[in-house]
Amino acid sequence: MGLTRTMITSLLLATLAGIWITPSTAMATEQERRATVQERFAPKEGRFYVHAAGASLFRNDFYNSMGYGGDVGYFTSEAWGFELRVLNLHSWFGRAAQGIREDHSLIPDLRAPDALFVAGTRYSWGYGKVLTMDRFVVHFDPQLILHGGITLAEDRVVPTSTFGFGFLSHWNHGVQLKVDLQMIFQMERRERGWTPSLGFVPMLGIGSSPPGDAR
Amino acid sequence: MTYRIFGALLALTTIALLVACVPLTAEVPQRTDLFAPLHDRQLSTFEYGIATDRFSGNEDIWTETAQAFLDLAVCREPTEASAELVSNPSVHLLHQLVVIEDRRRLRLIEVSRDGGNRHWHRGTIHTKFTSNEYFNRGPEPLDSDLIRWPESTDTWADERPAPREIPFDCVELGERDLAESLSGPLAQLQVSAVAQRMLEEWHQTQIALSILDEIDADLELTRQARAAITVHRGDLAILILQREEIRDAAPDLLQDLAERALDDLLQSPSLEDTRRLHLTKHGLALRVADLAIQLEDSDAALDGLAILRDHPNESVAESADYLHLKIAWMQGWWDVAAEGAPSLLDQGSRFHSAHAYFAATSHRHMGADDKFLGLAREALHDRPRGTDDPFMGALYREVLRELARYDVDERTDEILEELGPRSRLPERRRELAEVALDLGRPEVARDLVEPYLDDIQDARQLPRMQAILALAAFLSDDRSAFTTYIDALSRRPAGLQDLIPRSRRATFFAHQDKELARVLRAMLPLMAEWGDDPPARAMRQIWLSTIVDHTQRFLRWAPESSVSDSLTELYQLAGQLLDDHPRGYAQRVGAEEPSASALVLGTVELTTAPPIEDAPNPRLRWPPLDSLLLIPLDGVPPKTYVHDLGIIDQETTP
Repeated sequence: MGLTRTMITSLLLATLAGIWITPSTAMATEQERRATVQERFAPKEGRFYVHAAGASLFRNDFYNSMGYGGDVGYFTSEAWGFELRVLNLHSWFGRAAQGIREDHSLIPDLRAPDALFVAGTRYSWGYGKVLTMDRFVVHFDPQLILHGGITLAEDRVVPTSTFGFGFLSHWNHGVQLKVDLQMIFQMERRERGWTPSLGFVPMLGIGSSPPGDAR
Repeated sequence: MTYRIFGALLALTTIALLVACVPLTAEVPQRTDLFAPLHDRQLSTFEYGIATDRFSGNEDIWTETAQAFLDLAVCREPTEASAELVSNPSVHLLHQLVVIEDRRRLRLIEVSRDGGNRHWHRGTIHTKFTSNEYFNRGPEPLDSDLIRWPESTDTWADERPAPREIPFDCVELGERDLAESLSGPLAQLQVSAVAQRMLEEWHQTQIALSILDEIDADLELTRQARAAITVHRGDLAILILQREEIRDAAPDLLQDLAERALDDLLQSPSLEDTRRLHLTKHGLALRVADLAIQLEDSDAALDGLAILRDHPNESVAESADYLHLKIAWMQGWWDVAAEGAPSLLDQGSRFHSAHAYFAATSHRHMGADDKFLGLAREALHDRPRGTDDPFMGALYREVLRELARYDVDERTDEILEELGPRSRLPERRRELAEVALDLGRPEVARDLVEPYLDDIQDARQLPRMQAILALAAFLSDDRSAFTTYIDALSRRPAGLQDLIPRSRRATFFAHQDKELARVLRAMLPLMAEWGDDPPARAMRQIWLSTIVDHTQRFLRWAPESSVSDSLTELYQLAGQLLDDHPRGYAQRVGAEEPSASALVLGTVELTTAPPIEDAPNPRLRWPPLDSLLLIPLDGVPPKTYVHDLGIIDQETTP
């Protein structure tokens, strides 16, 4: 748990640091103001991708979940892509729930999530790059993500949808690194009826898309 | 298990990122054809090429030169050449030609403002180069896979400048301040803006010529660029010469500038060079001739005009023909003038009269009398000789002078008949007789008038003829004939004396009295020319006595005459000149106004020459050089740019 939080915090800070610390004036000279052009480092249109991913699921209940899995997707244009996500989740009681169970032999009426199957769309609404250490450039697409599907929680099937932001960065040799920060919304039929729950799913993925004529 | 998988995933990520990180490498685009878009009139693409060079660090003297062309196209002042550019004379020349074109444009605009001519760019490359339509100023559409970053001063190595629209910004072109690049005496002149523009342009042509001195003189580029600059500088010199303010401000400097331009024009551009530049020999000759005329260099002017005489434009050829003749005539180069004027211009020509006078008299000076008479007869044939055409009048008098040299025969009448309407033949005969008297040929005068005396019906003409005959008799020392004609002039028929009241007689006898007075007055100066040897003095005494007798008799008969006063004076003067003068003293002694008695002795020959300053003085005109620009070709060394020098010798008009 601690490791996960540390990792996420570090990634966020690194990203923010990249944005703020590497001002685009790094190579500025006395030039007139002028628009520039650049060929896309890694075009996405018409390409499949496969990502391996690690994720966490944080909800306002008593379980903690971590998992791994993968995404498979296809971009029909530079802006729009569709993907399928499968995550295998390992869930355990949080400290508070563990204490209650040990002290009072009580457990909540929800089930521990075991797997997530969702499909949905990615929309790239921009293109950015970050210069780091005055040497390296990270090209990325900021994306909006919307998924829908199910979560398997022991013997229950829980309708699930996720939505949020993602940063898909492009590296050499077709390597892609992805950070998704999504909210998750579930409706689980518990003993007391259909109960909604809201959570947060950060995910780190690495994968590849065939480089094609990417430069 | 999960932790191990997570660990493996992180390790994989770390390795992948280390391996796949993207270094910021400069995207160095291959330099595409820098000047090709300019040839293709794609201004945005042309600018894009320059900007790309700058972004990618490929900037060199070619980029600088391209920028100068762009500046010219967008009406900015071309930036001053860098030291690196100056160190390469060939490229520096290209840049300097752009500067000259820029200065020429400013000058043309300034002149246009001065004279209100809206078509300031006519005949020059600026008709196209400084127009909004000539260039495609919009950028090419971007490829869809290109990312366009917003305007910024940032320079990322992996980016390229975006093509952009080049606005037409030439409206305020003429507002640019005068450059402070002039040095030396030129900078000291206090002259108008137009003149300053001219001088500045001159200064820039000087720089161009000095650059040419650094390039191999045998290169075709050098020769032809020198020809172009020299020709342009000749144009400029002519314009500067016409600015009186510059003449006033620095006459010596101006003379020096113009003479240098003329020398260059005469020496530098070979016909071969100018032909390759589409500048015909006529285009060059026009400039040489006009500049030489303004500098009063007759030799050079005649050389240039001689070439122009076969100009395909008849108007130019005619002007050149006339100017050639006039200059040779004024210099007294009769052989050159006569050789160049074997025939007359068409009667419809505005130079016809002056040309005819110069041409015919040139032949006369050369002793070709027949040619002179032939041309004169052709020119005067059936032409009125009013006072409004001094050249025809002068030519007529020249013909009369020529005819008066010969005895009267049938040919004399033939020629006189051809010199005007037949009805006015007696008048021409009389005029010839008077000229003959002037030339001391009384027998010619007598032979012209006497046979026709009885035929004269005009009461006004008869006294004139009698006067001519009287003078002819005087000059022939024929006192008998003289007395006959003087008596005829001074006669007062007795019957008429009774019919006409005294107070009105002066009116009736005015013509003959006037002629009488004219004859008697003319005699005294003529006698003074006889010299002072004894025979001459003896003859003078005889004729003075004759004058005194006739005058005295006339004054006695006709005291009421309108010429009584002047004849009284003449009588007194002649009397004083007589050795045994009837009056022992001059009546004028002691008069209040002694000067009133002045009587000039001697003859004054009135010139037959027309007012030469009134002779037509046509200006030769021609369009300016179309262009001085040498636009580089990509991948081709400057030495071979000559074919691109856009000089066009257009139709010339005087």
